[in-house]
Amino acid sequence: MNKSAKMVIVLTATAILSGGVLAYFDLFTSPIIAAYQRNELKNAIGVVLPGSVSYGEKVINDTQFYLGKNKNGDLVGVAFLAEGNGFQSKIKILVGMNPEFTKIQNLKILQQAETPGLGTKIEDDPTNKSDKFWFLKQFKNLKIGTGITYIKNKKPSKEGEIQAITGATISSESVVNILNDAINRNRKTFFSEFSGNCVNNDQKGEIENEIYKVLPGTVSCEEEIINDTRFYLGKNEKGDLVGVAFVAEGYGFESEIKMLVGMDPKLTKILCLKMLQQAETPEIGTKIEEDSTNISDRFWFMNQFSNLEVDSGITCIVNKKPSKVGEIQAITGATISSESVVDILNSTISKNREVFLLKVDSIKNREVK
Amino acid sequence: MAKEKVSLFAEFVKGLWKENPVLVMLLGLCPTLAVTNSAINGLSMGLAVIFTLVCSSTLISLVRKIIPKEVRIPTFIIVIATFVTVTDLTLAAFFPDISKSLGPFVPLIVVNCIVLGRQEAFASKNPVHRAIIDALGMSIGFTLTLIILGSIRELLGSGTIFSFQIMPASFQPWMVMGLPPGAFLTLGLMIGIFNWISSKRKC
Repeated sequence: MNKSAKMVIVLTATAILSGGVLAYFDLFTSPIIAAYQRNELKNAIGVVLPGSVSYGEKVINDTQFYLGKNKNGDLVGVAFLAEGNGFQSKIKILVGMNPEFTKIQNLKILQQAETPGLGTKIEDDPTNKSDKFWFLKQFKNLKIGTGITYIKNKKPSKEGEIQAITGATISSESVVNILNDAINRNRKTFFSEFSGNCVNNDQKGEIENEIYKVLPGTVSCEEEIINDTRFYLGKNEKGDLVGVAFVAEGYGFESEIKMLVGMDPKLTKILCLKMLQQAETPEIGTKIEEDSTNISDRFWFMNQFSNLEVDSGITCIVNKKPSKVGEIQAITGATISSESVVDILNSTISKNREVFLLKVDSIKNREVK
Repeated sequence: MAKEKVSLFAEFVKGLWKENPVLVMLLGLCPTLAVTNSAINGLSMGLAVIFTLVCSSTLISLVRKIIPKEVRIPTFIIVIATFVTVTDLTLAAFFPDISKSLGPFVPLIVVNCIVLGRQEAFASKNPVHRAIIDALGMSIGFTLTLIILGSIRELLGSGTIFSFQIMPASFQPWMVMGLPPGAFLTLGLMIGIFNWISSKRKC
């Protein structure tokens, strides 16, 4: 065989094989890596926002905020990433603040590679036998006042003051500067979108308005919390229960998806579905909420769920019109987002059905007795 | 075919002592110096190299007759890079803590001279079983050296080996051992002692 032809063939074949192997491995490992990172973030948020049981994500002016909520859905704190240069490395810190931005709840250092034995004491200090984390703990519940300051070789005495690490003043100072900078910047960004404490009430109001849309025929609405799940009971003029609504949330392809589900009182049929929050791939995954390429009906995906019988679960079909009960058509190019919506609904509905019907039965039994 | 006379055992042992990649050939020094601030890091780096080197040598030896010699280096590198990326992704997915502490040094195995050197010097000229034995010997030699280096640095730098406390609590850690100069000093001393033992054995 011609030598140069052989060279081309061998190299091309090697490259193609290599590409194939890598593509397969990436496909196989990337969900695990992503899940680990999400979990890591969730744990970190749990650390910096004590008292939060779940968190929502919100992007304001390109800054990502994590809103920590307690089990009643009230905002207990706001977390964000602060990063900047330390003495010799980039320092990344997850900061948890109270919703008023006046107090640091807790910090977690996500990344640093400062001088071993000196600058690394910002994360843990093995030479301090009584408390390895004394430096970071100084920030726990620190009122920031007009800004954080540091003092050398002395115990802090003023509000917002912390003690620097001896031998690592620059690393300590960097942490303080990174925090001051990020807190000041993010306070402005955050309040440009929300005004102080009203965050919850705004969101609660938003959900209450939607309840009348997802439960047609409702004139009044009651809330009931059963086993930590919040149910909205929609009633007509006579006071009869016309439907039950609740929030379903979970992970989509690349973001948290949150929906308000309106169902009949037996929880066998979806009356209407409303998207509350999603940040899927623009133009592709976002079609779950609104599809601008479908001129006749931009909301065709969501509308498929209206009056859908879900007694035996929802299934997802690709590239075909739905033919069976409980079947919906996935979005071409956004199968994972579509499947996520279906999975979130199936798991939430079956969980809530059990919780809700058990409660209703017990009430009925009590009335009979 | 003088090479065929070398026993498989000798082929394996040469990587551990006579042709030890770090202490004799002084190859792959970048990861050797950079990741050995603890014994566990040395061991993990070693395991990653064992996997990459054995897989690459096996594959290269299998296809050694098909690869035209003009394009052998790019072919070797593609094969090595593939196995390294597989290792990197696997570590990140299943051993995230190790992956975090080794940082960029796993992807950098691609340019580790030991791996490419063994393909060029051995795997591309020898049958599969010999290539595997050679790869095992070399990578285990590398791993052992890294574990010893890492243990010495960890012992003096933080008083522990594999995170077990060895030194008494009153021991003041030598900060320099955790830093790059500690790596150079320890490696230099190790090479010195190694040469001294080798020359004694010859006499």
